[in-house]
Amino acid sequence: MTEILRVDGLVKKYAKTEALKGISLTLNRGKIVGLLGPNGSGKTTLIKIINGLLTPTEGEVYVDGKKPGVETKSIVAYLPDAIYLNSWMTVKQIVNYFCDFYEDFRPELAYKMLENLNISPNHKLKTLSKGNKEKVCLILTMSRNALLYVLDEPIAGVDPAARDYVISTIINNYNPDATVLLSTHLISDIEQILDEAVFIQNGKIILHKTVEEIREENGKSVDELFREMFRWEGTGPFTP
Amino acid sequence: MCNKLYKHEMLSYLRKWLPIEIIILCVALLGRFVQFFEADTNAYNVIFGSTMFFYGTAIVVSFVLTFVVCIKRFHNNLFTGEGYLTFTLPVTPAQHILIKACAAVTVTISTLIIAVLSVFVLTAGEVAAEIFKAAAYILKEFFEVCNAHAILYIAEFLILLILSVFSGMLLIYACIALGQTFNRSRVGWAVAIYFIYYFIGRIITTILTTVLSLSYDSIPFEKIGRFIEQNPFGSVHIFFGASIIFTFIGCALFYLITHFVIKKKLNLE
Repeated sequence: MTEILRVDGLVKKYAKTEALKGISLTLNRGKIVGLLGPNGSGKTTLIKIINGLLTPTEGEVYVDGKKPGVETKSIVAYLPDAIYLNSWMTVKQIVNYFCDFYEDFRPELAYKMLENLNISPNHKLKTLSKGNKEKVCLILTMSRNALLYVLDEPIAGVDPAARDYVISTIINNYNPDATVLLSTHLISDIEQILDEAVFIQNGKIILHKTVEEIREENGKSVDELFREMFRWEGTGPFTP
Repeated sequence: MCNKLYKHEMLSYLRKWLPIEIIILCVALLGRFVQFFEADTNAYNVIFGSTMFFYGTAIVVSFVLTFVVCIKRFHNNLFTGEGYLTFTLPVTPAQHILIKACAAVTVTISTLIIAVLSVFVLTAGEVAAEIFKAAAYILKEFFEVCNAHAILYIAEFLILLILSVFSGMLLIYACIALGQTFNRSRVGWAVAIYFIYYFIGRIITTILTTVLSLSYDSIPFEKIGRFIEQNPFGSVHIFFGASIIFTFIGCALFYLITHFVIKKKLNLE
């Protein structure tokens, strides 16, 4: 079976808004897929549902043929869009925590990446800068030998110079048989590593194609197509 | 997986809880030290009185803080940013709830044990020896009167004590979990649900008391009294047994509510 993720008719309603409006999506193994959409399009909601952190109003999610649960959590490596680690813990304690719970965690790889970034394992997380905290989170996620990596805005918080490091960390450390689903609106930075692109807008998937198809059919890069499709159609820039 | 969860729960608790308990023991030690300078002077009385007041306050504060730390651990670890990691661990909701409750009960009962220990530290010497003597005498009498029942009573009491602490924790867990089903002011709703639970409990108790008092004549008090007189040891077992069953039912109910919300209604903000 090459399918790693299947989403069927996913609907998520909050009190007054509908964040997802019947999303269906299938991802195969061994691909790097960009989940691309403007702010508020439903990217994070979809990712949270895939990870079992939100309960969908309607629809189903299957990871490797199973509904979100203990089995899927042991094969999905998730990077949230916010710092989620205990700030009082040292980096070493956090690495040990991951070792304890994830059988696929590779501590030697984590320590090697930390060393490359000059982040001491003995430092408490609260003493690190925001950018370094985000790098620690990414290192922990990518140190897992998972089947599906779900990365929510992995480059949004880091400076442009560090983005290359983040992207190379993703490419060099993921299992080639695994799938990487990464959400972002900074498309030009990650376009070169994408195999497929999924455009999401107002809780609906409006495009799901390979990057090659997009370039051949439209004669544009993914970034250019994205800008065209999601162009600001108001009355022009705000002027006081 | 459960032992790993328990280990990390306890490590997290030790960071906040252990300093509180060390302070309690230090204050008790200070109280004992002051007693070495016992004298019939105003200065001694003021210092000793202040130490005792400080010790009493520290004991109360330790129980309150332990309670707060347990509640915060459950809420923060599951329903704030930490929940993003907690709920993506390959662990079932049942394991999360039960291990959290076990760790909270361990900490609460340890607080109780340290409070008793601190009394012995405070009274170390002749007074402690007298307390031990008195306790030994009471236990000896208890075993002589109750014979084989004594061990059972102690076991039943300990089970009831542990289950009661579990029940208290799981009730709070259930309230916090139910609060999470609301879109806004989730902590506020959890507090409101806790008070609503007690309000409803109070109403039911009042109704039952009223019904019982109205049907006073139909209650066979004489028969009950005769049964207790004829089976004094068995009556105590029935009391403990019934209390254990009711407390256990409470635990199961609160656990099921929490489990249902986490498994079926989880919506992390």
